[in-house]
Amino acid sequence: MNGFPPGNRLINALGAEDREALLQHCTRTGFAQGFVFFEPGDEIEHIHFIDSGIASSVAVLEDGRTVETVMIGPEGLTGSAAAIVPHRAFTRNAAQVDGASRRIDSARLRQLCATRPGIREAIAGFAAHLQGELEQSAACNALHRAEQRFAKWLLRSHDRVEADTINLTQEYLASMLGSQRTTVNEAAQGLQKAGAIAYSRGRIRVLDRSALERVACECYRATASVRDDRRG
Amino acid sequence: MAEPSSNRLLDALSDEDRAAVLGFCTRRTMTLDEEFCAPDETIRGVHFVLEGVISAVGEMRDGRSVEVFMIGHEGAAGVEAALIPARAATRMTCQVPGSCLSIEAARMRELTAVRPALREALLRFQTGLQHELERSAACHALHRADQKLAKWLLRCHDRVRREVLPLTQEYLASMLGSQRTTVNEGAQALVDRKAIRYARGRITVVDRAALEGAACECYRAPVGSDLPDDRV
Repeated sequence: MNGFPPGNRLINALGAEDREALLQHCTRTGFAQGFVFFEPGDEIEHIHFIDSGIASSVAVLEDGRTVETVMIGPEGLTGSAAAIVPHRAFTRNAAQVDGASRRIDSARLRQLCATRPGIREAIAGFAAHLQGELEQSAACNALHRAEQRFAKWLLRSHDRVEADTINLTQEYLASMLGSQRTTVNEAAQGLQKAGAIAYSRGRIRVLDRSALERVACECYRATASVRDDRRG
Repeated sequence: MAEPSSNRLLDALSDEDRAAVLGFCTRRTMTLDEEFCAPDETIRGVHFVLEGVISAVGEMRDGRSVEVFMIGHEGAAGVEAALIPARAATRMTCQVPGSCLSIEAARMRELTAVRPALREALLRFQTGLQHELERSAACHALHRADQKLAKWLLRCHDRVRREVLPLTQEYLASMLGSQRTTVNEGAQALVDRKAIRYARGRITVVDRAALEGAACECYRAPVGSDLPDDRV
């Protein structure tokens, strides 16, 4: 689907010694859609290197409204803030699409980062990438229409899963985009009319990626071009 | 003893780490609109702000822009490049004139490679920035322009430590990603509440409590939950 070998790309890119040192402390886990990696305020005890599926980082406001701020697939890890220093979460991280990960105790990963520059730099590289994504995300939410953001969001999901069908309800989509359900409904119908997607009862099928790309805002391309690396 | 400085990030370092950093720093003045880094450009320096404000501004192809975070005397611009070579995602420019201590990013990486506490301090700050960005992404999706204007003025006021902010409406619009008329209405509402006085590109903060009453919850949201008092 995305042209990358299977598994977590950060782990795949490590040198053999670093990779072995890391994997020695990792446990293979599976997660189902909706699985909560952590809630705001939780001490981040485990870090998941995503092999497949998608974890979403979701900001939760006082009135309960939510907005996704970034999605993490096989290019990254959940809870990366705790990889260098102990940290409590400020967003909710939950699985948007089921998948598999390599899980490690955050304290163990901090030890590895302290002693292994290769692992530390991989984590710092991801942190820089994450910061770039978040900057784009903040600007996009300020300036772009719901329909453009919806198309971008579908493309980004599609990039990270190995299937053309994504199982997501409109309610869920609204909570990801920080929009009303009616807005999401209108956007979905617009895309359906354009032949970009087929939508029924919580299942979205991507029919025509280039049609989606035409609707999506420039932020899709901006982050796609740096998706794998913000390193200079 | 290291030279005292008025940057919170530097002040929090051990004397040894601070002296090591200051040994390679050059003090420079920051003039209005001075550019520190352009989008996609390799980050060449880390800038510890002493006075004034550096803003990271996201730009779209149609010329619209929006600020995604600001840095004052509590932090440094360019920390993404403190461990690994990194490229900027947004434009970093001086929004309020002042001064900073600048160190070459490559030199900073030599220091962080051998100084774990320095590394941790910078990564902790970067994590706080990520948190701000997550809030910023959610805030831009969900909050009204007048709430965002109040929040933005408070954040600016926190960092410039004087009552008069030299900011035109045009400038504010480009920071908030709003139309000038929207900013105008928002500013007028704050004038009516006697929170600010506004005249010809100068905003005077009259009543902080009133401004706080008008701002969204994002102003009060903690910056990194492991640092509950880390507000500027």
